[in-house]
Amino acid sequence: MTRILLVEDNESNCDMLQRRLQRLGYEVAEADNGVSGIVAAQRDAPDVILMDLNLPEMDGWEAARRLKADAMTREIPIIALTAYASDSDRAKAIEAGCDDYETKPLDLEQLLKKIRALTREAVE
Amino acid sequence: MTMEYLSIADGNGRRSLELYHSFELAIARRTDRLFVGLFIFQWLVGILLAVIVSPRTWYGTESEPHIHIWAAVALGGAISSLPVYLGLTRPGAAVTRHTIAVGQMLIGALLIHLTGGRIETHFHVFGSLAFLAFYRDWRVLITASGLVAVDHLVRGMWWPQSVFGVLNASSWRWVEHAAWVIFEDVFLISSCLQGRLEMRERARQQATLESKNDEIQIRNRELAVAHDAALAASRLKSEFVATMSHELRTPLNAVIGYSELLMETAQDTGNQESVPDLEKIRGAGKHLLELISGILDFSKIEAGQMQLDLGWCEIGPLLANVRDTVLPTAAARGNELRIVGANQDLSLWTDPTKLRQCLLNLVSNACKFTENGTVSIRVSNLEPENCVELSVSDTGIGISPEQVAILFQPFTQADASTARKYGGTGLGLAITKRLSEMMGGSIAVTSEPGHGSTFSIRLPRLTEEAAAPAECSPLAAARH
Repeated sequence: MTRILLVEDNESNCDMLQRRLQRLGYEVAEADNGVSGIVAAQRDAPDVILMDLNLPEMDGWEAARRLKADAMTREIPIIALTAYASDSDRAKAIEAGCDDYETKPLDLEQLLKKIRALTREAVE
Repeated sequence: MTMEYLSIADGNGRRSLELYHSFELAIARRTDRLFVGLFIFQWLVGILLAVIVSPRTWYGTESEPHIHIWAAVALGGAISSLPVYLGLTRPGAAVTRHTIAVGQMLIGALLIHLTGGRIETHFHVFGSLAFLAFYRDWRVLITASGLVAVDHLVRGMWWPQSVFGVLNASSWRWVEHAAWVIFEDVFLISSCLQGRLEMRERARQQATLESKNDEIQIRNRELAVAHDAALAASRLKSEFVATMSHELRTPLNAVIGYSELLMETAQDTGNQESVPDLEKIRGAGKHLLELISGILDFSKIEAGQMQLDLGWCEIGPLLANVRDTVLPTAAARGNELRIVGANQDLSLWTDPTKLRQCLLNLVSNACKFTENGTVSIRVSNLEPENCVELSVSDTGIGISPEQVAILFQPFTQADASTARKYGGTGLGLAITKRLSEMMGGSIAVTSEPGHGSTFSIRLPRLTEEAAAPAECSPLAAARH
């Protein structure tokens, strides 16, 4: 079973996405800021991290940078979930070490495709 | 004189008077300096003439310098010293020019005396008066003329030989000389007054010009401030739109996401009753999302913040992607969506995301305004122009010439009822046009109401090395 860490500070969005992913059989853990996201990633070693970028305490870019700098978490793929639609914001997310990005409001089908692609890669 | 003229004159009255006095003073000082030079020159010439004309006088075998030489040296020096002193120490003062006037006329008197009252020497008086007119002060001429009259009267009475060169002169002879002086004064005084009038006018004009200039400078400063404020406001607006668009997307994510979650749950439980309503919520959410994206894009383009992200774009896969995206909309309206013609294997050096956005907009528009018809996407390679043309044709309702004229303007749709019937932001074509132009291309439309429309985007074929997109010869903006 694929284990997903969802780092998202907006309660509704977090709840909604968690339930939709759980319905499809994913195991979903949550964190509501960058710092607790890093702690959870180190503790649980999820298969993939869905990272909101606009987070309190530590934003998603910084959290991604730190996760990718840490040997323990470096291999975990990160998908940035951004409400920022511009190309430069996407480029910034990739630069911070995110493996892919999805724009909010999310297209679940698209997101699932990306999760599958990245976790299959990770398994291989 | 108009009211405006009066008000300018009044407003600048003080400055105008100030300027007038400064002109007056400048003329007085300049003329004082000229007279200082003239006095020294006359003194030296007087001595020289005395030496040449009557160098020595004889008493039997003894000779000594003629008395005229001493007169020229002593009297000339005495008369000249005070005017020269004042001219050097108090230039521009009224007392200086009146002293100069007296001194100059006394020099004339001395000259007439030294030449034995010759009539020719009297012309020195006329020359001096003309020179004094340089002051443009008629009072100086009165002082000078008064002195000449008194000199002629007194010397004519007691020593006629000194002034008229005769032993006996009529006691009225001075009147004739004075009359000639007055005759000249009439012209000189009127010219002085005319000069003053012109100076006054020049001062008024300069004052007006200065005040206009001040006004312009103030206005320029105000404009610069307003310009900066407008730029700052425009920047703030763009930031505001970007932030708002982000803030609006977050709750929208919940709206769309929860409606989808409920639809998924309904599917799981087999309770399909609420699905149509949930579809409507989701549809409205997606529409709102389109509106927000459109406004953000347009605001970025307007603020000059939209940038090209250039790369190689394969036309075939791009068109297939666009077709797949729009296929559900096309099918819903019973439309056939086709990619026709050759040239599918072309590659373009352009911004693939923006080109996709443009095509997506044109194809979804075509599907929206066509029912049970055909929408075709065609690629043409225009070799001579070195351009590629991507055209989207439909067999839909078409656009009237009046509507075509405003089609690419923002916030307009072909007509207001269109928005109610077909939805849309009214920004799609405005954005498509601007994006096409950013990519160095152009967009054009041909349409026949009732039969369909064709929108064509023409893009230049560039190489990777071409830094800036070369302009592609634009299509006629609107052909009907």
